[in-house]
Amino acid sequence: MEQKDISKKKFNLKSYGMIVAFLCLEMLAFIGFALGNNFILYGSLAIVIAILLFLVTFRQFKKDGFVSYAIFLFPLVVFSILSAISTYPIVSVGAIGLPNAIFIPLTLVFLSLAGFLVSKVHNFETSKMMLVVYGSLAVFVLINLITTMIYYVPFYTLIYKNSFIVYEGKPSPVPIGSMAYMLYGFQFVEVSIYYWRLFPAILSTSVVALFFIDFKNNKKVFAAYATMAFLGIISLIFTVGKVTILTDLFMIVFLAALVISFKVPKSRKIIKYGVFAIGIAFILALILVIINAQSNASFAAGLQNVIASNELLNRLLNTNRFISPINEVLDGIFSGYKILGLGIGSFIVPDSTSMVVGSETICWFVDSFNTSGIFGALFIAVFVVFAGKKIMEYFNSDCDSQLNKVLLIGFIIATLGSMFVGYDSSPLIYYNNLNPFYMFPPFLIAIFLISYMFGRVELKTKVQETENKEELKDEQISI
Amino acid sequence: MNKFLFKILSFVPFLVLTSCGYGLKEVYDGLPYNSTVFEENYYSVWDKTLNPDEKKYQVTETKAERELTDSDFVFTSVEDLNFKECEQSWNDYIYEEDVEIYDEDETRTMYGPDVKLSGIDNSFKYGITSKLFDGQLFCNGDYQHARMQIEPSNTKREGFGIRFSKEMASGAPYFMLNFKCSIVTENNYSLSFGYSDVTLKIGFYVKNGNGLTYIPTSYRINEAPTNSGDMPSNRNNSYVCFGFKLSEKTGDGLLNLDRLVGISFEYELNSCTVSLPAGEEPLHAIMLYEMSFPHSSWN
Repeated sequence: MEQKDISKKKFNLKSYGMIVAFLCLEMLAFIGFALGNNFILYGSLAIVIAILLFLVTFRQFKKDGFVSYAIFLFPLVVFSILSAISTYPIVSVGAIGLPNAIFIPLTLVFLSLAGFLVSKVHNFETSKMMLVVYGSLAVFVLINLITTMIYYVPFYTLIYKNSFIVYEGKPSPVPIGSMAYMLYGFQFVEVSIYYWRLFPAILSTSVVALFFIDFKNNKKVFAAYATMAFLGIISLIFTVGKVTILTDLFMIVFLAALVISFKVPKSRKIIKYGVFAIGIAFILALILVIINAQSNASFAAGLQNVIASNELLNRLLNTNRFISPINEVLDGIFSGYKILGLGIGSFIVPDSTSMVVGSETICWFVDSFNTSGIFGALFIAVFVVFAGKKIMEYFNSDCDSQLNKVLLIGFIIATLGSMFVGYDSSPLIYYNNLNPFYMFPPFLIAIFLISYMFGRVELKTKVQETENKEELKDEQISI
Repeated sequence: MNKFLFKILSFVPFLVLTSCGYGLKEVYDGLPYNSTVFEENYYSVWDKTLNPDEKKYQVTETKAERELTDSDFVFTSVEDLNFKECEQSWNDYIYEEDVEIYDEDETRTMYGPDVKLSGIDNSFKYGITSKLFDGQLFCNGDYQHARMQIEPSNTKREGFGIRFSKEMASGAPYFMLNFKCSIVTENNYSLSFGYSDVTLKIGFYVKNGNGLTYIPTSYRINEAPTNSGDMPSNRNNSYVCFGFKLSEKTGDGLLNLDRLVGISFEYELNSCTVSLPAGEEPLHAIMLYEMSFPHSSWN
């Protein structure tokens, strides 16, 4: 009798885990397709999925594993809280209102948790997850490409780079060559070409898969990735511009480096030093840009004079159209001592004049100063460094096939990299809606994947430690 | 592998074929019709489907010109009783402002922004003629951003013909446009205030089975303010708010414009009271600010 009762209370973890994992893939597809472009919707889904995943996996991770994950996630949590209490979400018209700002930490944390927990589900396949992520992105890119081509023509970004249309009796705010059509929520709208191109840029990283799939033995998967890569690349070619050709070249170099680092193990050392050198150069450049941007700091005057007197440095750091908004933000943030996030003192009574709104820095990291303050930017930078370290561990581990690793790493780096030189926080041409970078769908997927990667590396380490001691006995759980 | 590559690359012609350039029909280097020379701002563009001189002309039936009378509830001012008959919410609107209301206690809404066609349907937001559908009834110092400058059709056909991308469903209780007249000399000398005697010729293009039915209308206004100022306190006297009632049910004798897809606007100058310097040739224009079918719906 007792035996019968116990069996009634048991359920098969494997089957439930797979169902929840399937829901998790659905959520990724939903976000990847940018459906609704609704941050709160993504957050709500993430909360439900993370709770369900916790229920089916909580026996599988040890306490120490969870603690190390909590430490890993700490900078992201702090960043998201600082972002929520900033004035930025309040003035993000149509994006996030004050009562909904709580969804910033909730979405980021629960999405990360979902990524971490789904890695614990037995038989959950990275390959299928990446197919879903890239597939949904590809559908989105295809819709955007066809719509844009219906309104414009291939290479219109070059042909009409100085032409305008008339909208509501006035010339469009930017030339035709600087905008494109996108499915935004449930309608097609004109968005900035920089924002539009982020999606195909990220999608084009799927081309790396072709170097790791045997065409003869796996034709369908090869065809899927080839089609997706083609869509991404043709979108980039059809909308190529004078500036974007540079970002495309960076993307090609990155993809080549990624493939070579996997295919030629000897090259890893060179690439490692290369990445290290780029990191150092970036930190130095950032310090230089921050100091140069300060308009009220007497200590910076000497350096500013040196830069201003050098034609090349002056052009690079002062007088080009991309650096101007960056300087504006960095000057506003540091001069105003907004170290705890913009508008923290005006949380109850929002004061939109206290923040640097509307500066199109087209760089998510500089935007993070704007959206979350100095500490916010610092914490998201720390999180990226943590993620970078974990990427290296994942890269060197054998917890996934080379194909999965290259796709996952490619997606994360391509997202953060392309957003670094192309994220437009005010993407709509005819409306002033602010879209903070932390609600950008591929960024959310990257956050999910970073945690997933953490879980995979963690799980592999634990399995190696315990495989000679005991076998995992969590196929069934009594509730 | 080659076969597979061929399949993928065959997608390129498909994408190129989808490239209709639909959004590139009207492309400018900046804002057109924005010259300091008066006559360079005359707008006279006819959609090919509405222009008899074009091969794509689609009018298959032309009705006799309808001279509008008081039985059509024609109005020429917002204070006109006929306008109050047409606009059921007359008391809920402010008619002298269309940009911003400074009075915090004001509960009425601005008429122009509330009845503008671009607010009813997004398709009216695009193109140079979007100036007529943006809810800006007055100049407000915006000049070229606000008005369409039309030349009289006394000697040859001027004016314009617009083809809408959508058709009007039933529901517009009346038609309205807002304008004033302007006259300068050939050398762009500013002249004093006066009145113009003009005959408006407004054509409506309604879809029929295999083409369009052209319904021409006309109405003479003897005293259209000319070279008038733009002070909100005096707008009822310096602008003409012209319009007439449309049929909401068949058999009421009013004009029925269901399935409307186009409109044309011309006018003839009969006379003008503004005195001219000796030896100067005048240049006359109607400055058209807004055109609307308030409370309409479009499919």
